[in-house]
Formats: sequence, C-alpha cells, structure tokens
Amino acid sequence: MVNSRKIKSLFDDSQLDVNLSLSSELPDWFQDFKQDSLDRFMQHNIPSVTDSEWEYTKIDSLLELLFNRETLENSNSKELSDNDIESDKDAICIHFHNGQYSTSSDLPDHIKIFSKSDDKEIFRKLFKSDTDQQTSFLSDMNSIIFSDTLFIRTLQNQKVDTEIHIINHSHHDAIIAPRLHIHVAENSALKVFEHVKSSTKSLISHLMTIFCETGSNLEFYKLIEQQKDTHILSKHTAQIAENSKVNFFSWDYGGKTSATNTLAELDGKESEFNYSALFTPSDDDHSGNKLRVEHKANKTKSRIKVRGVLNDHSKGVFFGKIKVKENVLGTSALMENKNLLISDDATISTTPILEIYNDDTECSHSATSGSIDEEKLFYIQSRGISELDAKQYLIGSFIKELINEITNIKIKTLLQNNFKYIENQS
Amino acid sequence: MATDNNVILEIIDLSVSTEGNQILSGLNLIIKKGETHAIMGPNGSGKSTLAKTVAGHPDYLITSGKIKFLDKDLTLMSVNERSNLGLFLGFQYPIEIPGLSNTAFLKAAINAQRKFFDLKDIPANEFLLELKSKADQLGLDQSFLSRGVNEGFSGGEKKRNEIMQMLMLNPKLSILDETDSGLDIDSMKIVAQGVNSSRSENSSTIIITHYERLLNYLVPDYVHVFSDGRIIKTGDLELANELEKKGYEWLTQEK
Repeated sequence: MVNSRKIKSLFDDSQLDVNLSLSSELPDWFQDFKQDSLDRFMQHNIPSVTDSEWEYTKIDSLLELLFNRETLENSNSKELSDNDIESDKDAICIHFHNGQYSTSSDLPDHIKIFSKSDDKEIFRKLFKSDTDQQTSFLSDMNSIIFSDTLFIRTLQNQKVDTEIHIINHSHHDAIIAPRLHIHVAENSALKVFEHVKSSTKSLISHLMTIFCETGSNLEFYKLIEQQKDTHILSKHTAQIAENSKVNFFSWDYGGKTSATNTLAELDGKESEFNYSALFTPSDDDHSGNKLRVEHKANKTKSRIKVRGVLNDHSKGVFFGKIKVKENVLGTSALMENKNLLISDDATISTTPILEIYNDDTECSHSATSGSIDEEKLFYIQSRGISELDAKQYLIGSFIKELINEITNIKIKTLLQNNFKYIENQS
Repeated sequence: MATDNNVILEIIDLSVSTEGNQILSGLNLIIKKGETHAIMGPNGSGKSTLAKTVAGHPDYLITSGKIKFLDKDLTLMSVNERSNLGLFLGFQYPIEIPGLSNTAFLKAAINAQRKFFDLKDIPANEFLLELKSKADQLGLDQSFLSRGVNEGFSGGEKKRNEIMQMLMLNPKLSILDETDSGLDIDSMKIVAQGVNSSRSENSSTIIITHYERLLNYLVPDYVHVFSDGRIIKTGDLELANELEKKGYEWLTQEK
C-alpha cells in the first residue's frame, strides 16, 4: 500500500485540542461524542487517490484546511448579509450561516434545531444511532466540525404540504459542517429543498441522513452553488422502509473539490429510491460522485440518473454500484450516467457496477461520455445562432432531460431559471 | 468582374476538399436576384459539398477560389453570420435536437438575425402568430412546435420543418439540399408550395435534387449538371426531363 498512513500522523496533539472548540454549556455526552468522533477520525487512513471515491481529489490541500486555526476562527462569524437571505412565503425557510442556525422565526413542531432545543436528549439518541450505523471518514469529519444540527421529524400520517427550504451559507475561508437528519414517519410525506451557498476558500463537510418509515414519501432537492477554491464533501445515507419512496435530486455547480457519497438501502419490500444528479464543474474543479444502492427486500425499485457537464480542465468521477442480495426477488434497477465534455481538456471516469445475486431482477446500466455533437452545433449555427449560444443550447438540452423529470413545479422553475438556455415551459 | 447589384451569390473557380479528398474542382456559378437554379448530378459529384461549403461547414476546406454573397467575401464569415445575412441551407438530413423545442429554437434564430441588424427582439405574440400560420401552411400540427427540434419527426416532417424554418427566416438565398428525398407525393406538393410561396424578385433559390419531379412544381430558371466537382452542362427544365429519361451517363461520357 502506497498510502496507508493514519490521519493522526498529519497532526500534532496541540493542534487537535482546540479544534473541537466546545462551549461549556453543552452537555457532557455531546463533548464525549465529539471526542469519540475525533478519535475515530484520526484512526482512518489518509484517503488515497487510488480509491475511486477520491480519484483526482486534492486530499492534501483539503486536510490542511481542515485543521487550520485561522479558518476555524472565521467560521465563528454569524453575520449574514441581506443578499444571502432567501425568503419564500410558501415555504418554511431555515438559514444556517457557517453551520449555525441564524433565523429567529418560530418553527413548527416537526423541525428541531440542536442549538435552540431545550430537549437535547433527542439529539443524543440521533447521534448515537448514527454512529452505530456508520463511521466513515466523511461522517466522522462532519461529527468533529459540526456545531448545529437540523432535525426534521414528521408525525405519523402527517402530510406536510409546506416545503422546507434550507439555506446553508458559508463565510469565505470558513470550515463548516451542516448536519441534517430527516425522519419521515409512517404514512407521512415531506418536501425539502436545500440550497448550499459557499464563499471562496471554504470547506464544507455535509452530512445528511434520511430515514423513511413504512408508507412514507420524501422529495429532496439539493442545489450546491460553490465559489471557486471551495471544497465540499457530502455524505448522504437513506434507509427506506416498506412501501416508502425517496426522490432525490441534486445539482452541483462545482468547486475545487466536490465529493458526494450516497448510500441508499431499500430495506422494506416495494420501497423505491429515485436519484437524479447533475454536476457541472469548470476550471480545474473536481467532482466525484459515488453512489451505492442496496436492494435488501423484494420488489424494491431504484432508478439512478447522473449527468455531468464538464468544462475547461475539470475532472469528474462517477462510481455507482447497485447491489441486489440473494433471496431478494422481483427487483428493478436502472443506472445511467451520461457525460458531456465541452472542453478537450476535461476528463471523466465512469464506473457503473451491478452486483446481482439472483436472476429474478430487471436491471440495466449504461454510461456514455462524449463531446458536443459537431453536426448539431453546425445545424444550430446555420440558423444564425452564435457558436457560444449554440453550445449553451446543446448543454441546456442535455441538462433539461433531467430537469423535466422534476414534478415539483416551483423547484423546476427555480432550476430552469438558473440556466437561461433551458426554456421554461408553461 | 464589375459589381452587379443583382448578383446574390458569385462562385469563382472554387475548389474544395474534405477529409483529404478533392470534391469541387474549379466550380463557377452566378446566382442573381429572383432566380431559381437547380443542381443535378450523380452521387459524389459535389452537390452537397457545395451546399455545406457555402453554409460554412467546418469539415469543408476551400483550397482555392472565391465565394461572394451579396458582394461580401463569404469565406471570412462565421456560419451564423452567413445565416444572419440571409443565407439558408435546407439540410438533406435535418438534425434532431431533443430538449430544445422547435419554437424556442426558431425564436432564438430570428432574434439572432434581428440582433445582427440592430433590431429589438421580435414581440412574442407576433412571433407565435407567424409561426402558427407557417406551420398551418406546411400542414404541420401545432404539437410539432413544442416538440424538440426534429425529435422523432418522420422524414417528411423533418423536410417540412426545414421549409417552415426557411419561411420564418425569410432568406435572400436558400439552398435546398435534396429537400425532396424521402417525400411522398402529397408532402412534395406541400413543400413545393411552401418554396414557391417564398419566391420573390428579392429571393433566390438553389435546389439540389436527383429527380425532375420537384422541378416540375418549381420550374427553375436554370438546371446545372454537376460532374466531378464542376458544372458540365447548363440548361432549363427540358434538360432535367432529358436526364430523367437518359440518366447522367450520356452527359458524363459526352464530356
């Protein structure tokens, strides 16, 4: 092994002390949780670029940032400029600035904020159950850094029509760790839109867990807008029970590093996971998309569609794995990755894997990568449209196929407006 | 040659190669205002190469000669500038662009042209009315307008869509590359009517075709026969009728 050093070897003890920067008001168990997370994190191996997840990633510069004192101090700033405030009268808007809750309005009962909550015990259980299930490099990193947590938990049979709109800002040169737990109770339904907006040179370690009980339904949309020289590492896990459905859409505009790791477990029969993701890096951005879906029960269904549009010298990685266990019958799985390289210097590596242990399953996977079709470009230009616009229309048409599948009109319009070459359809 | 205000397109001693093969060799052709020229000739004689070269396809390399459009050197212009100035190429194989609707595409095209002449964008209502009337004229159902450009269209629908684009853009010179291929008789009549409706003393047309049938509807002023990248004979509709009976061989051998 070329690179099997522990993370601990990168730091000396004095550096480690300050980094938890805990307030004395917090309960002991929280301090213990943080300390345990730090200890675990230090025991992870330094990720190697030969791992598919970290291919092309500039890990060293990223880890350097992580324990940089100045950066940590910047992260304590709570000011939020008016520009950053998003309001939507039809949604519940929740702002986090540098990882800390920064909205003063009252929240409904199904939304709980760690820093505001009188009952911190529910968070204790939450963090504990998380730790029991998964201790990955990414989740431990989040556990060390995070300062606040958003917990959304519906009641049984509660269909929440009002969308929850989460805005996560980061100050420049800040390190933040948004942490979001979603628990959709039996026969309930929830819609969440998360907007991550980072400033230059920040590092965001994002953790989200989804737990869907029987018969529940979650629509989750995530838009990541990064400034240059930012790193964002995201870890998503979803556990989906019988007859439940999760629709997950994300659009990542790219930053210096953007690594997303998603694990979905279809635990109950007839559960469903639909995942659509767009990544659009430019300059020398890196965008890594790792995804694993496990079909653990009969008649489960997954549908993965990931598209990359890569410009300049950017690099992209897609690594997707769908696993269907033995004795699991009647599953259906689709995994598709399409990439459009709009620069000769952009690179993509794509690996779709199906790991199927029985025959009673309907599976398909495909991966394509190509540059802009010259004949299409010529055709559009021949009608008087400039080369630059023609390219944008072709990119728009490539992206639109995913956007069109969004059923939520409001989100769809918002995303369309983000890219003017995608026409709005009324 | 003295400048003639009536000359739309002037091709002088044009040689063109693509992928290392010389296709056009010393072609000369002058198209004047209001004229309709037909170009016929065997496969590989350079008809489509001429169309794509004039439109500015990057795969076609001009090795010698000149192309002037409205007395301007066309070879110095980008593909879109040529279109903005009033050149239209009706594609032999129209391209499908899923995800970009016909309507949005045409509107962008028209506004690009207007921008070129420092005009404001076309008002949305005016555009839609115009578009609907042209679609009706070509027997294209309104549903085609919201579909992706040529997406899933039949061969005939694609060709009608080309003519609809032509009518909307109102070009000074249209080059129709085998617009009649793959059309049934009814479609051909509709397409011919569309082309005829666009003909005026200010617009000119080049029709590239293998068959006299379309020409019987359009009645060109000149019929040119291509062979080995140049014109070997020029005549009128009579020549097209003769070619239909005898094929090209008698001409290419005569040469």
